[in-house]
Amino acid sequence: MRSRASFENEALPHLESLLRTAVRLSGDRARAEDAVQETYLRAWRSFRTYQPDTNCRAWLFRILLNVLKKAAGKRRRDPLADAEDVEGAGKIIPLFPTREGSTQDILTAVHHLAPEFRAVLWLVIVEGFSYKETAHLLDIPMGTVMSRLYRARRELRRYLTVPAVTRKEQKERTTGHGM
Amino acid sequence: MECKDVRKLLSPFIDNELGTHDTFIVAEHLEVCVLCYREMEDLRSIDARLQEAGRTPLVGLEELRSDILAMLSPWLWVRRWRGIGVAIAVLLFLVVGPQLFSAPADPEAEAFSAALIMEVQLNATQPFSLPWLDPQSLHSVLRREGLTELPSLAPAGFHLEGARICYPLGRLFVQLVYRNSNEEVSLFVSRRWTRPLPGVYKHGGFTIVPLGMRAVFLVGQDSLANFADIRSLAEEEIAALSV
Repeated sequence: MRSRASFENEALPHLESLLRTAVRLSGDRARAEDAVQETYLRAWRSFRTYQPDTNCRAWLFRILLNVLKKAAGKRRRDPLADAEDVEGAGKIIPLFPTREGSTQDILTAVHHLAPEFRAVLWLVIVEGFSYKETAHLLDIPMGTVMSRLYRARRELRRYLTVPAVTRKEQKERTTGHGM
Repeated sequence: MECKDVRKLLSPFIDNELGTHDTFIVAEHLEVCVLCYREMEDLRSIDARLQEAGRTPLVGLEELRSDILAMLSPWLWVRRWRGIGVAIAVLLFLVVGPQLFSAPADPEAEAFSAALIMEVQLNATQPFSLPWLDPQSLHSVLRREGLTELPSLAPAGFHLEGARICYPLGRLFVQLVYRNSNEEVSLFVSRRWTRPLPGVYKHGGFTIVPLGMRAVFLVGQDSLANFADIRSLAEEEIAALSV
């Protein structure tokens, strides 16, 4: 059986990126912390079966994504659900105008992506996983990773290049205000 | 290759996920197409901003790390599973317990238990046929037997209804009958019986609970809810008597 010290050495350095991902995918800090704790608990339980020199980070991420998916399922709102066929999925709904170019601006845009697009985008661009690794993590084909990433980037670009004023007008049209 | 085809490949192109052939075609197109090149620059810029946003330090990380380390402590596992452990133990007790407390494989104990049950049944079927002791005689008998404290042995909620002398297996016993609103419990005591029964014995709707060397409770099966209280109280009292 492998020691707790080796678990700490191998698994805990990934805490920050796991939490960051959990926050972005769940959209809620408290839920994210719960998910990360559950991830480490599960990882610790099965650490004796973990093979040294394999990709510990990817292993932890896969556990985390399963935990998030399960938690979201419980809330009947799955952030990783396959919703490509759902009408309107993947469309950014700008809820409020944000300051152009700010960090918050882009995070807001990411938040409004459909969950399955957000997951692919975050794992590839921020966490630096390859398409193959991302496909494995999310249990989807590589082609799906490519298409989701393409659409996510296109939507992000559209959101970020539309002036805030125009987005505000779009919002007002959507909500019926200002007419 | 047309612009719309190239734009679909821009995403894997900037991620270095395109094969050599497609990479070469996209690169060639970008050299001559300003619009596609601008779109690629936009995407790269968005990637850079997203990566920068992702690197924003998170607050409260140390607390979370501490929580996780505490969670890995073996004691936490003990606490976490304690409830389940107790539940399993109770379940096992309920399932296996009756078998553990089944009839003792001891002919003498069985015969003695049967004799006690017969005394109780006799009392139930012929309540006025037995020589009940008046309080003065009871006190006298108990004093002679060295058991003067026993009438205070009433289990919680029960009162002493009567007492008599009986002779199960030819040995002198004092039977103390306690009663509450719907149950009757008999306590058999004797200085002459020096062999404890090996365990709880059930037979014919009765449960016999051994209480040390001189006292035995008989309760009906329906009284099992009170079993723990009665036994515990009686054991305490008997322990106090031995001191």
